[in-house]
Amino acid sequence: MGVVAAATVAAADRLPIDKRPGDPFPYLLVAPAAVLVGSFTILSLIFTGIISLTDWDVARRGISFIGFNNYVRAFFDEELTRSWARSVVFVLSVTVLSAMIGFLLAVAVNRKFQGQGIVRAMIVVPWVISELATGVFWMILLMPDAPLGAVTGGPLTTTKGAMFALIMVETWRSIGFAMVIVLASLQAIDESLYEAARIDGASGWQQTWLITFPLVSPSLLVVSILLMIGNFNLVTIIIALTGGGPIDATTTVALHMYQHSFQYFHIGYGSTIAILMSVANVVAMLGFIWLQRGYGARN
Amino acid sequence: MTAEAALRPRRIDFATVFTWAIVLIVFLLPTCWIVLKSFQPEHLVLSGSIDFTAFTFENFGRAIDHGSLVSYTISNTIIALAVCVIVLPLGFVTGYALARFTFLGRASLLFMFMFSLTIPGLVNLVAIYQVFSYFRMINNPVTLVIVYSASNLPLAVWLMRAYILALPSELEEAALIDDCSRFGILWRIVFPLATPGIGAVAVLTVVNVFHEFIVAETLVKTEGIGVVNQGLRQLQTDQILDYTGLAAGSVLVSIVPVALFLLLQRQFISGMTAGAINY
Repeated sequence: MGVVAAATVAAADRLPIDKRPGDPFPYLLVAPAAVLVGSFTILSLIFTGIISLTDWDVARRGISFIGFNNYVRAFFDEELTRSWARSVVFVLSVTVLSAMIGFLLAVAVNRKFQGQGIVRAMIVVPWVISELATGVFWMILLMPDAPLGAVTGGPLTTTKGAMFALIMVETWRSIGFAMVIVLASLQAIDESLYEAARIDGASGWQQTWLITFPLVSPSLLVVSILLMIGNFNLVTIIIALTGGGPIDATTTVALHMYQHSFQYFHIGYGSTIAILMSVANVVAMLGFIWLQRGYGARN
Repeated sequence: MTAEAALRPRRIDFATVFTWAIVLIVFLLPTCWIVLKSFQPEHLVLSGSIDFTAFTFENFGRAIDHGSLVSYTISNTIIALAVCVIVLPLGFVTGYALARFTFLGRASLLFMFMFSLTIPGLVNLVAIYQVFSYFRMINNPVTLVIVYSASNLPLAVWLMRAYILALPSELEEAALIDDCSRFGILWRIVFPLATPGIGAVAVLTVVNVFHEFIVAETLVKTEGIGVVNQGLRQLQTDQILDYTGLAAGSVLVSIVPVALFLLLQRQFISGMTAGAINY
């Protein structure tokens, strides 16, 4: 992994000030932050990994090592399997919808028109409101007796409706993020490409799909990976909007892990799920690094 | 919109109207509806219209009262400032070292910061809870300051490094030749040039702390101490049928982040894109 990282980050650095090897000054500068961040991410991961091999449960006395029993249990745990399936549905739907709508809106607001700045700001505001507040006020909007809830048939009371509503609310929140990232790469596109296409008689729609889309697809992939990781680990908005219900219709792996660790205090088993989630996160992040490298190489 | 259309008729076409319509209905209407409902008396919460003659501030009073929002806001603000006091200087010096020096372990360090940047805190929460409970620091706001500092540092370092990389290094070289000390260079030359970048990090850090909920809810359970979202959650679980109060609460806890975003859009956007673009 270190090699991959070196390849991603060492690309175009200019290091003009100091090239003396073994100089203590840079170490002095990076030490506090490195210790703080390192002890949090790396030591926590090791700690969680060790606990995941125990039967630690607050309801019982004594802790003993049980090897990989928790992992075997996780493999045969049907509730957990269903949570994984729900996570896949939730994460993929939100990611695809947010990335696509974010792209189309970025193209739409990249044209010069009246009130461009206001429109952009309005799209980003949902991303600026906290997850909990978003979940809470959409819960009010979608109550069966509220106007919007009545029109849509009270989605939060049915199992399919609740998942659909959760996907829609989280997409609503994430579109602004996708749009901002895509917009940044749209603004780097050379205007002359479009002029050439117009001379050749390409329509606006053709220009969007044949020129813009391929050029911003690297940043769309980055957005997708970041949204996948973010939504996979999301619990706050689910707690506020549906509480994981009705029954367990919107309980994703992240919420399942949270409930085991902090509501039932099955700390050993909760840690096992956390480790499995970390593996999924690392896979997604390696994909992210790999895509970044591809992006760097193409430019 | 119609007045604008009259001023510049050539820029109004189908796509513009369509974009405006979508944005107004999908993004503005739900938030506006909740803001307006938070000013309505309780019995009108479910009606399909807004009664402008019946505006009231009662809901906000109840939300502040039942959600301990004054206490949570003070506590959240102190925590956010304390996190800034740790994150801004550490992010600045670390970003500077990573931008300007080559040293053994630099690549692994960059990898570690990126690793932490992409891995959200939720999977570490079990371990964090156990460690702080071992040191008897559960229900202590200092715990939140430490956890938030550690989780906000990677993005701060990443942003500061990108910002300093884009600055010309000639001034620093000249100062070195003039026998300026290395801390002097950092403080008198790099710091003034990097203040816009530090500003962006500050905005993001404060907004992140005002967004946080799950870590605070897990580590601090003393009423009135922690972050504003805990006050909103308290409203949601304790006052189950008070929907206008809840609407008022969700409006109140959103004021700080939304105001910071609207006032400092450029810094905010540069922080959002930094994580994804500036590699």
